[in-house]
Amino acid sequence: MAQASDLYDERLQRIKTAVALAKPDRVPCVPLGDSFAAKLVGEKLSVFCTGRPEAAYKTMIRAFTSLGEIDGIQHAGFDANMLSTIWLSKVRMPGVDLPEDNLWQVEEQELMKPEDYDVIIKDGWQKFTDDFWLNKLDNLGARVQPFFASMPAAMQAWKDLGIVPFSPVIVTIPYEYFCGARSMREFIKDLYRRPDKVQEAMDVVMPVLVEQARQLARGLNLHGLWVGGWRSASEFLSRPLWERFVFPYYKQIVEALVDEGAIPVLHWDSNWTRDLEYLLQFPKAKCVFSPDGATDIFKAKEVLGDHMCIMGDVPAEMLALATPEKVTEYCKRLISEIGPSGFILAQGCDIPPNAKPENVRAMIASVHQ
Amino acid sequence: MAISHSLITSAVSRLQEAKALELVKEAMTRDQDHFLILEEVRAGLDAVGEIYNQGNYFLADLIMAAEIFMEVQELVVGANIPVEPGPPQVIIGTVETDIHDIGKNITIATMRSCGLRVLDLGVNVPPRVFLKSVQDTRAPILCLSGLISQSYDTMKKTVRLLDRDSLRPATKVIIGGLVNEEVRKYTGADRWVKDCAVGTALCKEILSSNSRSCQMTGS
Repeated sequence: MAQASDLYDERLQRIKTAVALAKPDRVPCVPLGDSFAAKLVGEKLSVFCTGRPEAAYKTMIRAFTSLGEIDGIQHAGFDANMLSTIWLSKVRMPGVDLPEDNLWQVEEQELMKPEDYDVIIKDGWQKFTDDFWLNKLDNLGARVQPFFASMPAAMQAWKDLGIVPFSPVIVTIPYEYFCGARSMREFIKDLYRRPDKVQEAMDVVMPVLVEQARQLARGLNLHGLWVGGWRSASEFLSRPLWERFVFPYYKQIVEALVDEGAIPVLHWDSNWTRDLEYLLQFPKAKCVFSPDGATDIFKAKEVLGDHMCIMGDVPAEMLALATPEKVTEYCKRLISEIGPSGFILAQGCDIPPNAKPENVRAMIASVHQ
Repeated sequence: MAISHSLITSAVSRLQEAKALELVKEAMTRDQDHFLILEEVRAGLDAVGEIYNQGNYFLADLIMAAEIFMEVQELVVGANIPVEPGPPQVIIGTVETDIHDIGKNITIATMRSCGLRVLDLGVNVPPRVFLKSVQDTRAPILCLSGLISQSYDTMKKTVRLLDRDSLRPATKVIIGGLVNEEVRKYTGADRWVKDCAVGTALCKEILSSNSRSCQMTGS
């Protein structure tokens, strides 16, 4: 029987081959499913989601090692407070603000005011977020610290099983932070009413985010990082706005990560189909485009197939409602039409808590058939 | 007067917020008919909808257009005064288990800016609250919003309650958010949409088809 370290090397090589746009011995499968893992092992979401990072990653390991052979896992652990760090929004927690088995959800609230752009420009991003975490997000730093501290052990635990913790850290662009903190509607209005001020603040924030991303990649010796995109999707913005407030910032962060030798995993939810061609400006065979089912993945293959590995995109709706046969059929289509070179099979976004286990098993099994 | 009003339409359609508001204020100081001012704004919003349908405006542009409409409405008729009085034509809410409301709120703003009367039940709305609201108002359209897959079961329960109380087909159920045809079938809803402009157009289509049926049957 193969040693875990041999398996790890074999699987890492398989993933890296796909990222390099070459053809691996088979398509790798690298899923993500935090709430799903809890449900699968019978743990209440209120118990799983926060304050017990070590137990949470063990739950994820228990769940995913029972579903078939996977090559990697996108996130090594979970704490719902982490969502506040990337959206600068409060998160409603099961068992506290929601029923015990409800999914945690980001609360849409205007926590940052228009005048805060000036504070950011004057005092800098670090000082602003220190204050924001403490005063607007109820001392977020203290709540996420145990999760951050658990990361190295969580990554090692997956490695010890021969499973690659592929992209355990999330970074993103100023747009996503501002949009979360201002609330989407207020932020969109800012883009029309005070575009120069927004851009000035973004340009103050960006070097800090790039440096943080570099340090994370270096410090944790990461293979990949999620470069998250949610509300900055093409479907929400006209191209002039997208070209000004979104793309240049992604380009900076992607180039910095590639420079560090890390793989930017563009975890981009919602529909980005319109602007896929812009991704050709990112370094070739160094990134992963990971849509959630809303972007046309087949169009992505057409535009990016010779330039960027694609990962995805079995939709949440399918995993929750369809039959294993349907899931297998879709996965086979993905493997043959998006792959077999330059493709990693995964769910779109995240496996939902009410996904049928047999559907997730069918997804994982499809790369072995 | 005609020149001023066409300028209002043009400013709204180009999403020139400050200019549109300035023109509206100017028209009001000249004692222009408030109804006509709002009609000019609506014409601008129709143009925004057209440009959106052509794929040249996006969600952010709809948000801005609805914002301009709300500001004009407040200027012209004052805050919290419905422009279109009467019972709701559309009841909308994010279903129980889900608190996402960005899409729902943008949809409501778009619908209202198109002249629809909308009753917003908020987020995390239980099936029985939707049922009671339909019973009380007999609204012809119920929109159920959900952005997590756990919301499917609540949508299904709500549709079942409406069926049980024979409130369908008089009330059409539209689901929106993380939905597709598979989800529509599962929940038993009449239609599904992922786009607030499409949802608004669909509601208008249903209302207009209801009104044609009423005319034909003489009811």
